[in-house]
Amino acid sequence: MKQLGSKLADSVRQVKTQQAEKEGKEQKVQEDKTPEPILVSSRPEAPLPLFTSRRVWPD
Amino acid sequence: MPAKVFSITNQKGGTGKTTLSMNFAAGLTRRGRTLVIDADPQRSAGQWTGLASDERPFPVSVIAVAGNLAREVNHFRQDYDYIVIDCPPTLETDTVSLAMSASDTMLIPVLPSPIDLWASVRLANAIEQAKMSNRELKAFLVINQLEPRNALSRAMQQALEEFDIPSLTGGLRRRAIYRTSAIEGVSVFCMGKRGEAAAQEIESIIEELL
Repeated sequence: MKQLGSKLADSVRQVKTQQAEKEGKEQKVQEDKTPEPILVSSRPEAPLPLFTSRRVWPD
Repeated sequence: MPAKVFSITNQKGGTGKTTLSMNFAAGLTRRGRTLVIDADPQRSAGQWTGLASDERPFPVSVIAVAGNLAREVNHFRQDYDYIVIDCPPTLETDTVSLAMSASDTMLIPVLPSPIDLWASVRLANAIEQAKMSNRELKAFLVINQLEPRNALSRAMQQALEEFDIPSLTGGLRRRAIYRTSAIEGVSVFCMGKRGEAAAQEIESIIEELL
């Protein structure tokens, strides 16, 4: 009887572990699905883009 | 004083949710105004009262709720002393989480079988999460269909210790009277001598909880 009780308890422990692993995996998948935030870094050392516009004015 | 709200839940079917809900509510109504909310789309609680005769109606009103359960519970909270929610056998819809947020106590009937115990693990996790938003929420396992002479039934206690949810001292034995009372649309309290032992089991659960 005691052995049966231990077996049953072991099986519950095993299911708990499996469930925790499954939830951990699901959480990781969810995290992986989350898009990376777009990093907007300012680089003060970088030169400002130079836009050369050549506008031709009519005479 | 607002009603005390009990939810009877287990994501596995056939564990005795409706049997416990109806008999528990019938016991509670002897103490105060009681309402059963049938939140299970199978509508077993409603069918149960539908089988009652006009001369001997089920002593508790049953309403079916399909929409926002928490809102309905709040609507009736001031009018009753006890509300019992018979939950659907699933964790995939919002119903059970809404029931958890609206309840004071969750009762989880479990059968003395490994498969039923394993199925309860996920529910135990869901209750732990629900406690984060409803800090006062209490939860108890209730062993149903216990057979004292069965080795597995006797081995249950050790397995139940693995759960973070405590189990009630009182449980329900496997008794034909629970099924017979359902057929007649009454509770075990109305079954006279035949229902005495079952009624005593329900009374013990109520006394343990109140």
